[in-house]
Amino acid sequence: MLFEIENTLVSHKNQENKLCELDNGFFKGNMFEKLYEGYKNYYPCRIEPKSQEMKDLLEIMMLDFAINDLNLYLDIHEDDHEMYEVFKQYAMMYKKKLMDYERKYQVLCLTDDILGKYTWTSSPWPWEEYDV
Amino acid sequence: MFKYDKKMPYPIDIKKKDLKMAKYILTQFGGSNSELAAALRYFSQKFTMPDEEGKALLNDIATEELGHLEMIGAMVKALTKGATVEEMKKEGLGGYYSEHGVGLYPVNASGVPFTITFVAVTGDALADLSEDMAAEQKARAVYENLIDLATDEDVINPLLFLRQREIVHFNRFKELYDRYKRIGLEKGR
Repeated sequence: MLFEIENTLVSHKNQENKLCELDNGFFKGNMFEKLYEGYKNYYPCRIEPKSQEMKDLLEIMMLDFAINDLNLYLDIHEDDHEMYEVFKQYAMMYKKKLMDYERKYQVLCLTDDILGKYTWTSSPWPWEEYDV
Repeated sequence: MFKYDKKMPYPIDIKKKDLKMAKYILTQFGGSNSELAAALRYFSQKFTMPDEEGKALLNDIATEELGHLEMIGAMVKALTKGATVEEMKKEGLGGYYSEHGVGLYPVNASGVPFTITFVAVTGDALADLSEDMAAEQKARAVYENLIDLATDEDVINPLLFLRQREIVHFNRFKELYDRYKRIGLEKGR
């Protein structure tokens, strides 16, 4: 497996809202298996990161994506405790990955820019070349 | 309030210049079904959603749409990188260049500027959510048209991602709409 994020959290019992694995859900743009609707014969490609930094950033993007998709679901299903548990675990993993990444490469959240020198302005900004 | 995260919702890594495609994709920056219209629509409507679920959902989808707007901007920027004035003229962007140079201005693929009249707010949750469901379907259709026009996988992948988000949003709005129909709108107002 390309990404080492644990995918063990997807055993959500409710089949109606069965979740995709983190990386699959991200590349498809949809964490909810049954909600996915493809287009023609297009199938979303997996992105192969070219560097460790891109791999780490992609993992953060995946977690953030899953959190956002679960966030929208939970907004209108706040009583789904099982889903909330998954949300919680993803959120905790996200915080940890984010901190590790920011220590190693660059700050992604302004309030984390407290490591001795103001680096917020440093490139690249997200809309600049990524070279994934 | 809003806080900026220095990352994209999905990576944009386009290496091939394609001015025609840039012009088409610009439509999701400033067209009637653009990410900009979506963000402003839900952001404005959230103030009159009748209960906690509605306020949260509209707020959170509006926020996500702003991230998508940035993705579209990054795609247009990458597709036009290193373009000369000659090339822009040749690919039908001469008129655009005369007003905006290589800057990003919210217009549709035909050059019509963004206007807030693309967005409706009625203060009525059922009417607003019906508009939102239609908006998501229209945006999905636009993304499919754009995918039909595209040939580069680096362009198609983020378009597929954005198209799929429209499907998710449509379904969430529909769930909320059905819920309001079921419980009636008096609750929480």
